[in-house]
Amino acid sequence: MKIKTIRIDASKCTGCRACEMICSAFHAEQKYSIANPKRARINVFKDEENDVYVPVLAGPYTDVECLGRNTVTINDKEYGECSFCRASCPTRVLFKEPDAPEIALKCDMCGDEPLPMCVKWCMAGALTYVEREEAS
Amino acid sequence: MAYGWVGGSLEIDLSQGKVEKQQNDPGLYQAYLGGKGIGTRLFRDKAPLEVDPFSPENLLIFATGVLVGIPTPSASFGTVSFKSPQTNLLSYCAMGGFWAAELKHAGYDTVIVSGKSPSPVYIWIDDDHVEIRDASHLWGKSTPETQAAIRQELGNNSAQVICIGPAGENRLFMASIEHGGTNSAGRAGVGAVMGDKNLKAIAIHGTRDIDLARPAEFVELSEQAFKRSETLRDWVAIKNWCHNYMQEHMDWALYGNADDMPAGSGFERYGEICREFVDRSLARELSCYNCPVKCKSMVSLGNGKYYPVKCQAWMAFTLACKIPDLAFGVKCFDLCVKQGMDYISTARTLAFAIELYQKGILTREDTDGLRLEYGNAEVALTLIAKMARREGLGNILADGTNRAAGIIGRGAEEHVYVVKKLELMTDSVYNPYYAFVTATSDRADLHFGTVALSPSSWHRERDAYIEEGWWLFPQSWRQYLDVDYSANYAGLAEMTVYGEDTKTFVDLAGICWFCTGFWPFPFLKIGDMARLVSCATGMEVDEAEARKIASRTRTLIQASNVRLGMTRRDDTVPEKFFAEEPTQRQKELELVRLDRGQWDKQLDRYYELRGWNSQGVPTAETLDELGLDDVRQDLEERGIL
Repeated sequence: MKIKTIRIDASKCTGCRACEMICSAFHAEQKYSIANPKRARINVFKDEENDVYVPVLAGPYTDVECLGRNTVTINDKEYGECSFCRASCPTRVLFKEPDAPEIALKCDMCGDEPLPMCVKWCMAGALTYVEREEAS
Repeated sequence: MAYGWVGGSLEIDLSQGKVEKQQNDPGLYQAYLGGKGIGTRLFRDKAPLEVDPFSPENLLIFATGVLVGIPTPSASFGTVSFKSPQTNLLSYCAMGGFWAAELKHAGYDTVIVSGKSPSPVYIWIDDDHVEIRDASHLWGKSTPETQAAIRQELGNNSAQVICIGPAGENRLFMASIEHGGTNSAGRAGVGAVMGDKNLKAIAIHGTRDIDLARPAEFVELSEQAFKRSETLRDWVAIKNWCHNYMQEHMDWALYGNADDMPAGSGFERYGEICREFVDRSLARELSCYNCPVKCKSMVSLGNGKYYPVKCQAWMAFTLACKIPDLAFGVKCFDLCVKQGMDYISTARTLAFAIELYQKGILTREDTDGLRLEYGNAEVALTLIAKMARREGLGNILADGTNRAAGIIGRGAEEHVYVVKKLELMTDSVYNPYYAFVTATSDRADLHFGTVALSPSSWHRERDAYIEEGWWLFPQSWRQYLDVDYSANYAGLAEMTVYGEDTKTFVDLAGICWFCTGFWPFPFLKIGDMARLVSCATGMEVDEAEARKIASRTRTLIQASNVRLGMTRRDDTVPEKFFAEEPTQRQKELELVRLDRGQWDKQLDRYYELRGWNSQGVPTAETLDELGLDDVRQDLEERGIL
C-alpha cells in the first residue's frame, strides 16, 4: 500500500506560513475563493525568541483530551506537548472550522493533486513529499 | 460583497475610551486601494493637518494593503499614517510581518486611533470584540517582553501584537513600533506619537475569511510569481550577502559621519569578517507572511540567545562606530528592537555624537563622562540605552541629529545630514539618482524611496539583467544608464517618477518593496501587481490605472505637505553634497559632487511630470484629473494655488 508522507524539516522553516495560506484557500468550498489560515489544516508553531518553528499537520479528531501529558524540552525551554500535537481536540481551537467548531479539520494530502499544496508552496524546502510502500 | 478588502474600520478614541465600528466607503478603495493612500485620505478627512503631532488630535491610522491576507507573494504590509513630530509633515511608515493580515481577518482594513488615554492602555481586537485594556503593568517593558506578556494574559498564542518600547513611551523622535522581533514601523517618530497617546500596543486576532473575486486566475498569477522569485530569494539571503557583497556594500553605505575607514581599522577585511561571522552564527533565515524571500535572519552569538538581523541594520552600527565586528552590530540592533528605536536614525545619531566629540564640540562635561571614541563598543551601547531613557546626553540626542544640533550649537549643525529633518540613511547620495529620489520622496527617505538600479557590483551584470526582463523601467530607458552623472542628469526625473509610482502602488497593495523594486530581480512589476489587484478585487486595474492610483496618493501627500509649508527649497539634500568633493574612495565608485544647475533642471522636470507647478504645488488641472477637487478647493481657499 502506498503511503503519502509529508516530511518536515523544521530547521528550514522560515515561518512564512505560506503553507497555512494556500491550504485554507485550496480547501475552500469554491477552490481558492477565500483565504483564512484559521481554516488551514497545517499550523506553524512559532517561538520566535527561542528560534523554534515547527509546521504541524492536522491529524485525527479526538473527542476527549489526553489524560497523560508529557513535555518537550528544546534548547532548555520546556514546551507542553500540545504545542506540537496534531489532534483536533476539545482543549483548543486549533484544527476546527472557526465558525463551526464542531467540524474538525484534518489533512487530506490535497486528494488527487500531484503534490500537497503546502509542499508546493513551501519555497524554503521545509516540507517535502515522499511516497513510501508499506505492507497493508 | 467585498473582495480583496474586507470593508470594516475601527475608530478608537483613547480620550473617551470609545470604540466605534464603521464601514469604509467602497469609493475609498477604488480611489486608493489601501495602505498609505487610504491612510492619508482618512487623515485629511478626520483631522486638521495643522495638528500638533503631540496632541490628542493627532491620529495614528493603521491601514492594510489590499493584497494582504490572501495568497499574494510577499504581501504582508500595512502602513501607519500620522503627523510626524520630527518632520512636522504628514508621514507614514510601512511594516510587514503578520499583523496586517490578522487585522483583515478580524474584519477591519483600517484602525483610526485618536485622543490620548489618561493612563497606559493597549487595544485588544478579537474579531467583533474590541476592548481598551490597562497596560500599566506593561509600561517600561521591552518590545519582546510586551508581546509575550500580552499573548500570555490573553491566553492567545496566535494573536499578533504590535507595540512600542521604552523609547516610544519617552517620545523619542526615533521611536518605532515593533512586531514579532524583526518587523518595524520605524521612521519619523511614529512610536513617539503612539507613546504620547499612552498606547502601548495593539493585539489582534481574527478568524474571518477574505474573499477573492477571480480566485483561479489569482492563484495562477501568484504561482507564476513564486517561480520567478527564485532568483531573488537566494540572492538576497544573508548568506549570499555576507559571502559576496559586504565589502562593496560597505563602500556604498559608509555610514553617518564616519566617512572613510582609515587603513588599519580592520575594515579592509570587512567582507571576510562578514563571511566568517555568518558561517559561524547563522541560525535561521526568516520571511514575512507568504513571502518566498528570506531577507531576515536569526543569528546566535554562542550565548544561548538568538538575535534578529535584517538588511543594513547590523552593518549600520559597525560603520557608525568604526567597529568591524558584526556581533557588536547585532547587539546594537537587538537593543534598538528591544527599546523600540529606529536603527537608521539611532546609528546616524551615534555617529553624529562621536564626530562632535572628536571635533571637540562635545566634551566629557557634556557626555556624562563618556569618552565618545570610535571603536568603543561599550560606550556605544551605553549611549543607545541612555537615549532610550532620555538620560543626560541621551536626552539631547533622543530627538535625532537636527534637534540635538540646535541644542548643542557651536557648529554642530554642520555635522547634521538630514532631508526634511529626517536622518539620511547613507552618504551614497553622492550618487545623483539616490540623492534625487531621497529629496523628492514623500517621506524624505532613501530606504523606502525608489531605487532604479542598485549600485556597484551588480552594475557589472546589468546588461544581462535588463535583457532577461528584470528591469523596472521601459527598455528604451537604458540610455539613461550610460549618462555621465558628473556632467548630465538626463532621465533622472523620468526614472524617479516611474519608480516612485511603482513604490507607491506597492504600499497600497501591501507588497514588500524588497521584492518589487528595491533589489535587482523584482518578481512582481507594477503590471503584475495591477493584474493581481484586478483578480483579487474584481476591479479592472491595468498598468495605466495603477499609475494613476499611485499618482493620486502621491499628489494627495504632496498637497497636504505644501499646505503645511513644505516648499521647493525642502526638496534637496544637505549642502555638503553640492559643496564638497566626495572622498577618494567614493570617487573610485563613480560618485560625484552634485551640481545645483543640473539638479534644478531635473526638479523642474520632476514637478512637470507630476503635474505640479514650479514650486511643487499640484496644479488645479492635476487635482481635478485625479478626482481631488476638494483638495484643489482647499489649496485655492488658502491662497496656495
